[in-house]
Amino acid sequence: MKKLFLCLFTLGLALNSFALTTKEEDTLLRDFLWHEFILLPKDKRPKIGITLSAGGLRGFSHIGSMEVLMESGLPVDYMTGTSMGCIVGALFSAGVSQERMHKLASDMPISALSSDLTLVGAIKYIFDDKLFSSQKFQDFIDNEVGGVYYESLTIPFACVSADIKTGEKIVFDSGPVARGVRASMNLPGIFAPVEYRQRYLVDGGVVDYMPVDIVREMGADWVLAIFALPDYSKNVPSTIMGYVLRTADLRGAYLTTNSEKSANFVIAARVGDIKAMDIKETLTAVDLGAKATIKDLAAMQENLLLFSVDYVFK
Amino acid sequence: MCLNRIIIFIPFLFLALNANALFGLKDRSEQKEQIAKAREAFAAENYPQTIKLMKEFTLKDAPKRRIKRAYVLIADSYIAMEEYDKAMLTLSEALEFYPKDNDLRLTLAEVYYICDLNSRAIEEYQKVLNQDKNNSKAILGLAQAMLKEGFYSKACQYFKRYIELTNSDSANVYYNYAQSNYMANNFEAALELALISLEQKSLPDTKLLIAKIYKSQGNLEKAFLTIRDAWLMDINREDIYLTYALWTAYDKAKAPQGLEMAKDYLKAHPQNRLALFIKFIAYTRLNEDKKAKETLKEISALKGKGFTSTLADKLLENTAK
Repeated sequence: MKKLFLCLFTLGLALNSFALTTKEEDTLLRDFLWHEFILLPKDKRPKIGITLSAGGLRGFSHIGSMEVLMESGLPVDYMTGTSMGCIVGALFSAGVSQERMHKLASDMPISALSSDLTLVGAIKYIFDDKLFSSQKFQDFIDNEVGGVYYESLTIPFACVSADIKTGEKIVFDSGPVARGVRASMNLPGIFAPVEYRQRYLVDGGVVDYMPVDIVREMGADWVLAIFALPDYSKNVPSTIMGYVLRTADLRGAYLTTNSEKSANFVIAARVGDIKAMDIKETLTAVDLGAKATIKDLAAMQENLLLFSVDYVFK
Repeated sequence: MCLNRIIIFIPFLFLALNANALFGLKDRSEQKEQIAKAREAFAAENYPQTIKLMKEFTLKDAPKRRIKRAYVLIADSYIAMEEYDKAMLTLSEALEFYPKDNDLRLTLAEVYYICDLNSRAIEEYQKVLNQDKNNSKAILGLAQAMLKEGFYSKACQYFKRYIELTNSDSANVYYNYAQSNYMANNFEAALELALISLEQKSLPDTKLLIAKIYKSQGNLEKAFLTIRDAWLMDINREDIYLTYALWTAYDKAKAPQGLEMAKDYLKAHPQNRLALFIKFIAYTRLNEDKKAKETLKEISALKGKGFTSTLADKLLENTAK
């Protein structure tokens, strides 16, 4: 049998009409090792963490990113997120299906965020300095995740909020998921702070736009950070709300620089000039997130394989 | 006298009134003739002549449908000559005049697909579907472009829709549908579809895909048998041979055979990084650490860097520690 193989192979080499390029050989090896890696038992490979950045509705791009990553077979051991990244991360960790997340991206009305988003609410906001309540959003998330607690999530998850009184970073990793999610996306200046254990909590993006350190503290050896990258260059804000959101974005970009350095790999989804509260563009954001992740997928796989090389060849 | 004049005058009047129509008839027959000539040139694979004739034609005051035919012939000629950028320009120009023409748009989408401009192909196919939601060509085009672009779940949806709509039993369609499912980690569905494709047409690629699916399902025995079959179907396929060698070397029990396969390949391609890496894997599996390290050094010393070399460097670095 072996002789037959050798004979056939020598004949094949003589014809040699299907020679591979170096790039094709690299792809072949990467795909093989990747499949071997994702089949490794959890205790025989490094722990993988994913952190999702804030970014307002631009953060819907995380849905597209996660979809591509799941199709690639990437195992996920821990997750963290801030603001919109927290919402997507929580839904994902709770096992909400991709179809449902797509549906939320396409159909979620802005009124799901607050019961005050009415004419009366707007008048009170403008003339009475009364911020919108985000309680309705907490109920909405609670309904989506089925009232689950952090302790019983499929994938261990934590999210970040900020205490507006002290400036401290508050990490939610226990109790009802929806409460933490609400606190993490509670945009200051728009939503009233969430009162929780003597604290007044606002959007975590104020102190930690992309919580890489938290996912490491949870136990991740290798961290993938996904950043919904804005583009400020195309327009100057023209409204008070526009300025509030732009300031949050700029602050976020500043905070992200450090987080990026401590992640093992960063996927920057170039969401362009989709505005932080542009509800019409959420599906475009999902699509852009998927595209950015597909573009970086091979490089991400190579990075993780190089990190895990000793596990693969054990 | 007066009657005679009237009789003479009537034909003149008739001619004057119908001159435009008569000349138009002449124009029309000339146009038809020119298109026929262009078609003949196209059939004779004289593409530059086809393009020349039809470019002249587009400048004439011809009816819309004929101008469209001219654009199609020009684009088809450029496609036949593999001058895709020019084909794209021609079709884009034609679409400015006929924005609702699905045939033109489908051709443009196909050209984008051929040129690996999959996002653009997807956009064009979607525009066709917006006008004609059951356009099977657009659905298949979308499925294939989605697969190439890496949107595997979406590709699966479109392949499914295409098969439901057309009752297609094309081996190629089933193969691509199976491939999309495999990439989306739906191994059971992928296997079923790949086996249907294999029934229609037995190809090495289909066998290779089936082998990969078996391997992902943990059915190693069938995986090895199938990949061997795939390679025997076309012994010139180095990708299949190297994949087979890689699997064999990585499997501890088969590592000696994998080592032989790598060595055989290296006889013809002594500096092939992948074959060297397969040799390294086999040595590692056989616990021949010294030889494994030497092989890594061989890879590392080769010129040019890629993933295989970087991996070898990293492994060397780790052994030094």
